[in-house]
Amino acid sequence: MSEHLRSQNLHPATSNIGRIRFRKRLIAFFVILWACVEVTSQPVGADVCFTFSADPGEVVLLVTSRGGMVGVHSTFTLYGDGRLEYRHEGIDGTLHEKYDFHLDYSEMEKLLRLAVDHSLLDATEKDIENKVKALRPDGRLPNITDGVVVVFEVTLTSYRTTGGERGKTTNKIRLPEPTYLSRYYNIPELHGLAAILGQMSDYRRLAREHLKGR
Amino acid sequence: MYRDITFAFFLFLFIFAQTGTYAGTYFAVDYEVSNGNIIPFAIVHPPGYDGSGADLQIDICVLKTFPDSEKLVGPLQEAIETWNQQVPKTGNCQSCVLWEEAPPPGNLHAGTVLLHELGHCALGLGHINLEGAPFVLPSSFTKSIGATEVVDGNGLRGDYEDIHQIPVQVHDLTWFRTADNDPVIIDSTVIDINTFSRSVAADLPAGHNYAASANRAVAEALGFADTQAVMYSRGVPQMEYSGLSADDFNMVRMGMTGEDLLAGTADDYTVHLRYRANCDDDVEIRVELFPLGPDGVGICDAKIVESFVQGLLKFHWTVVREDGAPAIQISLNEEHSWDYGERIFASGFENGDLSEWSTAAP
Repeated sequence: MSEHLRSQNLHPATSNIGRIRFRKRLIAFFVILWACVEVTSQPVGADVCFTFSADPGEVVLLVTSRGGMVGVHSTFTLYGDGRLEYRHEGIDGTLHEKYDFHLDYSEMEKLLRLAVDHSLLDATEKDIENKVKALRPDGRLPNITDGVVVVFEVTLTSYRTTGGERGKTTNKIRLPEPTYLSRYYNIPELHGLAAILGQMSDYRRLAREHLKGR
Repeated sequence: MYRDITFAFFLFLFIFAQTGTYAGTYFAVDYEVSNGNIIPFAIVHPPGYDGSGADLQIDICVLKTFPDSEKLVGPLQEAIETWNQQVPKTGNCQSCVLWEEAPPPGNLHAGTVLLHELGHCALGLGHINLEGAPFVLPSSFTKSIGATEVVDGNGLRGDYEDIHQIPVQVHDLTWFRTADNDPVIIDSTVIDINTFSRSVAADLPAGHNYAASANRAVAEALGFADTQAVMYSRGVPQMEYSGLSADDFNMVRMGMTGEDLLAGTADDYTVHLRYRANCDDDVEIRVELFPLGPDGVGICDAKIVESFVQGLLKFHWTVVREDGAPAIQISLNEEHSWDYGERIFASGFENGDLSEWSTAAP
């Protein structure tokens, strides 16, 4: 089953939903400027500006999971044109659910900013694991039985911090139960992953409610 | 000379691991062994076990942080009663689905997941089947560590014919009955170290290659339909356990033999789970609904510590809460739509097994 949902159904408060095309350099300049301006009002994170692709074929954000008790997993794939594809599949490849959403620029920027502001562009799995270990008296990772491992991958076309500018940047992190871990360990990267996962869950819930209401 | 002693020590451990020492599918053993933290022949005991023979009482509450949290109480009480009864049965699994099979649609049964998670957190049990890594699919083969490949000669995964290929050393974690390697049979065998073993190398019946696993397909081949250990690692919609399998029962009984691993001695203990209505009381385990993201189902968050001071070879470990946590934690995913359905009768009324009902007229 596939359902194409306009994002205005997900965010009724947003007045002008639609795709914003980034082909012209002037628009891109203002996008960068806007993203940078937006940063200064953010309470969390360094002074960071970023851009992301508008290419419909380019994946800018991928969130999926593996493991757990059931053997089905969700994959959220955000493309540069704002299309957010949700797939719920079994380990045998059977497709159980599929929804397509469309996010406008501000929604995409908000989602990616969660990653940027919580250092998810630079952190590695080892970094985060070491931070968790450092907070534990036994210095070891917790063993969460029956949990899932979340895979998070983000790609930006440029990424500028006080330390300098980087071109195309991709970061991939795999962590067990980041939402659960963020409850006990005050680590920005875990909070960022939990926030992104929470947003993905919200999109899915809204899609299901929308279908139920038809 | 020091180097010689060190070599001898590790050689001793290697040999000891292969010849009938004491480990099984207990909670966290695979994790700790894989991280080099404990020896593979460890037994994990319920919370509160300190080596003395006594009744362990484990208090469990439901943390009511979400509107639906109250709905967990009924399924939890049912799961507690199932473990407390300590009565194994066959035909205990309705709609059991193996890892090699497609899951049905629908909602997960909260009682089934709670029964499984209590097996970890309250009874100290681990999974019976091979799980691999997060990106290696689990399977119904019998659990072990270190096998690069498990060869299945007859198409039945987890039975006595499987061969776990040894690159350097395979850690055998699964207990089995030395008389027949049958994980689902129920009889009067007293479970202790004289009848139960982890040693694939020394104690399997003749003609057997590996410890058999209590998955549904193996049980069926042994003559028992719809039978599976609660500690099989998969839980799917519509799947429901109506009781413990022999394997679940036997693993708890093995732990209850205490330090000397012999049944009927002074250090034997019993274990009793108790529901508490108030989480402010001093409870060992808290059960809750918690948002675990799009795909989480249920988790047990606990660790193991040495049960009492032991020598170099630490056999006995106890489930305890994680550092900084108020209790051992069982969390079910608040984002799921759960089947909280309780059965009015828990004695075979729904599945037609009336063996527990009297035939005498009152």
